[in-house]
Amino acid sequence: MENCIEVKGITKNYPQFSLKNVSFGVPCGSVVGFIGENGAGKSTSIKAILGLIKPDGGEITVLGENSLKLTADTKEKIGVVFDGLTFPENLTVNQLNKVMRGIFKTWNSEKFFGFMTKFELPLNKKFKTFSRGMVMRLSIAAALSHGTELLILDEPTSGLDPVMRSEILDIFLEFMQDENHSILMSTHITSDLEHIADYICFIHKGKMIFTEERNEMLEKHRILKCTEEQLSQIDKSDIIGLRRGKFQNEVLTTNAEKYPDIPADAPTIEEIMVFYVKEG
Amino acid sequence: MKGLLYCNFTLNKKWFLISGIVAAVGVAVGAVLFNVMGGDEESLKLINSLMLLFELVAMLLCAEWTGRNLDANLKNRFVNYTLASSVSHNAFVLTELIQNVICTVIGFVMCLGMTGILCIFDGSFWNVDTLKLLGGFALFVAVFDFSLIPLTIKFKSSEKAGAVVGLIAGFGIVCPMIVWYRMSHPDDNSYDMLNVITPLTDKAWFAPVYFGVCAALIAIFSAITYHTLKKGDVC
Repeated sequence: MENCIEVKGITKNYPQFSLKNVSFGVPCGSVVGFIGENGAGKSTSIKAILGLIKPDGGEITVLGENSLKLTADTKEKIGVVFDGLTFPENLTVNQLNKVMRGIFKTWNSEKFFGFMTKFELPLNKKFKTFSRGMVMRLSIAAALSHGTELLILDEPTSGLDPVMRSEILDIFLEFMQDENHSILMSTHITSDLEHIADYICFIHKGKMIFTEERNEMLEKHRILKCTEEQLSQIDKSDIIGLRRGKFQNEVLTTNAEKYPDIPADAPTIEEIMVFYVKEG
Repeated sequence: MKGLLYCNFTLNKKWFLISGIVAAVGVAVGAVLFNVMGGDEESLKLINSLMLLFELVAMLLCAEWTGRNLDANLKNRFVNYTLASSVSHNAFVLTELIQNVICTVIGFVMCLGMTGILCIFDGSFWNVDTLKLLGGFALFVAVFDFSLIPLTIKFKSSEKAGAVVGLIAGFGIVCPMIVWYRMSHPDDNSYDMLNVITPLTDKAWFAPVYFGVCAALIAIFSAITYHTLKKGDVC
């Protein structure tokens, strides 16, 4: 399948953080969950994809164009949602509509106000009076009200309650009804991805740990519940992560079939992430 | 670009209002002083100097918000949003330049209005030297504010950028001019800026050179801003 985002070996060095040779792709028509703990490099990677930072090495292609030379027509097809309010806080919904009409050629006011009605957002109140949930709904509405084919979301659900998160995920699912649409969604709330992600990219300390199809990844990983004696029988190279307990140890592995005598559980995405991070 | 201009002018109407209030207060003070002090030459000089001060403040206030606005838009990451949207780096720089020009023109027209109203009391307020000074100052303010953009992006603060450029302009341009004037005219004890400027503005070469330097500086700072945006890591 063709990738609408192709990240090839990007590096970016800051005094206290670096992205190290990060590569992954977002296949067209799919939802890719970009996971990692806070400070792992998710936002930096997203900024690089949007051409907001210049990588020290590597190359990024977005909808067939180099990320540093994206044309206005291509940018029209990219909807962006950053974490928190990214519009001037003294604007109102009505004013934002006029601003966006001047920014995007394909801006659809009718669609935007449709979202406002659906999300029950006031049209004449300044954004600074909005709650976090309202801000996120506003940002998502703005991202979906032009000719968006690719949604790039940086922590769109962080700080939201479960009901609000579920509502927002429903909007993304609705957006994905069109097979040409794709989503790259960074989050550290991995449970959100259990419902919508087709692929998972896991980044840790600036390094890509894996990029895999979600079900395949969940199928491949197993948590072995073992005693100290059983633990000593497990090959060290098979241990991705280990959590020691008073009565039982837990080992994350991709080779559970080698140890048929040890009971194994299917992990959640969050557990996989935690085991990798703890070991790392 | 239209969207950004609409956004910035919508958010900053209050600065024009404040500037207008300063201009109105200036005119009122000028009118009161004229009536109290009378219309002799000494009084007119003093009122003229005071009016210039009001005019310059009104003009600075008009242009002031562009830097503050950029500062706010960097902090709330609206700049990142616009650059990730279909606003190109070129369009962003051009938008800043257009709003800079519009603000300077509004400030200049406001100052002309103040001078025009004061002419009701005495026609000598409307003189070529004052107009030249206002025009020159308008250009100075435009260049000054435009030069703040790359530094505002670098420091993420318009105040810091203003302090740096202000120190450079103060010690590099204004102070040397005053020192030069004082040394060449030791007998003049007045504080009228017109006295300092007039010997320069009287020269035939001054206007084209001044315009040329300002245009060159605008071009240079446009290029610097463009490259600063292109380099990334703006917000």
